[in-house]
Amino acid sequence: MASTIDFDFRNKLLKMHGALSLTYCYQCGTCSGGCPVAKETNGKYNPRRIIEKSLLGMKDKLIKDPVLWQCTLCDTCDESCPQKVELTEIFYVLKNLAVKEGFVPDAYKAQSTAVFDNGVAVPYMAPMIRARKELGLEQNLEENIVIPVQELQTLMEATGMKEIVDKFKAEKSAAAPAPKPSE
Amino acid sequence: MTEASKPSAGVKLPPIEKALFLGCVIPARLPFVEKSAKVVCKDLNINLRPMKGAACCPDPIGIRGVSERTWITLSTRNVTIAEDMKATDIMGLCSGCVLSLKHANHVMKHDAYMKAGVNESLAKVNRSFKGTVQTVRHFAHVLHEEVGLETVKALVKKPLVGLKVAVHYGCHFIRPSELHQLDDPFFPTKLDEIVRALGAESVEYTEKMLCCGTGVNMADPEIAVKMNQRKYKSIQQAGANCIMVVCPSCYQRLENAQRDVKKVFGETYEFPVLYLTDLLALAFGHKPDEISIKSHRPSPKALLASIGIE
Repeated sequence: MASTIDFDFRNKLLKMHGALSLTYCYQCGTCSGGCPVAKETNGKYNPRRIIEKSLLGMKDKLIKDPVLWQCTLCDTCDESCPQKVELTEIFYVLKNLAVKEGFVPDAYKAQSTAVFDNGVAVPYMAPMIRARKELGLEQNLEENIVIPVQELQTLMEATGMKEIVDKFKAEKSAAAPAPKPSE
Repeated sequence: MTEASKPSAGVKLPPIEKALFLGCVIPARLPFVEKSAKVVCKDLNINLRPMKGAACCPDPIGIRGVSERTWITLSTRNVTIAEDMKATDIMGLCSGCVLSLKHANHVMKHDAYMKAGVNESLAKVNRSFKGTVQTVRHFAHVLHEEVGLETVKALVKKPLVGLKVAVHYGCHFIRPSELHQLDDPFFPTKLDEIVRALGAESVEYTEKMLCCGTGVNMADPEIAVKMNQRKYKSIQQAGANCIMVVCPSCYQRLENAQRDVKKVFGETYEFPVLYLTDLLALAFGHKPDEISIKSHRPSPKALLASIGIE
């Protein structure tokens, strides 16, 4: 893939809330030196390089590359950066932009869809409800299981999550085999 | 219960009141952790007020990765539930939940631009962030800072001598350190101090600060399992006989990944994973059955029996 610099993307990114610390970076590489994922991937995952590409505005190389999602969110790089570049925050900004363009791992799609539909990432299943009763936790269940899904969906619509999840759902049903035509 | 067997006998325990944010994973997947936490809070005179209508925190990895705005709006909504209860202090049992709510509470107090935007959304459901919640803390933070180690020591009925604990801090329990203001981001000591106060040994191991891998596992499980192998190997070399965690994501990952590591690398590790609250409950004299120790995989039963806890 040819590397092209997208100046509009660069300028947009540098002004984004959460990415303001980008310009502090002097590319020393302390972030990559301490990164546990860089260690396991032999440097294939490289936070310094993601910051470099951001500063240059190499949009396609950033948001289309699955490497963006290989960060394990441990915050080690932020804590060790001598320039106080908020790398993890910048990666969130990039991921949010990648989602808008349709590049997002399946596990993230599934979780967002679950939270939109149920209001929680992990719904209560029958065996767990039984386990709770055995532990004497049932009263608490009554109090907490009432998840105001509609209220949450209103908020998720107001903040753009509904639109994103609708797209995930449409993609999924398009990929599924077409239902048999009725006789 | 006889007077002597009451955990609080003879120990002065000023009441502590907390709005309890349970989150999703603990009540819906690990109810035995909720149980041990509630048992221990009762012993410590921590009064837990349920936050009715609280929902997903939401996940600071998954949901924030997809939409930062949704993340902070939903976590602020959870904070407003505590505000409406006139509660000033929120306590969580999960590092991820605490991070989400603490971040929201902090940003909404200090970033007028964010506050205006989020409150505009919240107005659609007749809510608004007022800023009356003073602290959002993890249980372990409350234990160390508010209850105090001296009190913990005084409540120990059954010192956990013989447990060689590999403490796993996990990332979001202490980082970002500027937000948490809890411990050193690279060389933390607070959980080790708690473990030692219970009579157990906290074993130093090389990969103590290595992430459990939950974050990268969502996108690339192959990388996560390599990290887990590295961690278990280091725990084994150090001679620990169990792992202690303070986060349900770390808990699930460090239990399940032992099977993954076996499948991928053919290496067998059998470390029971215990929650901080499990160790406290056992040290305070509660029976393993009361906190459903049988729910842990690998089972800690033989290990506990070897130190006289059955």
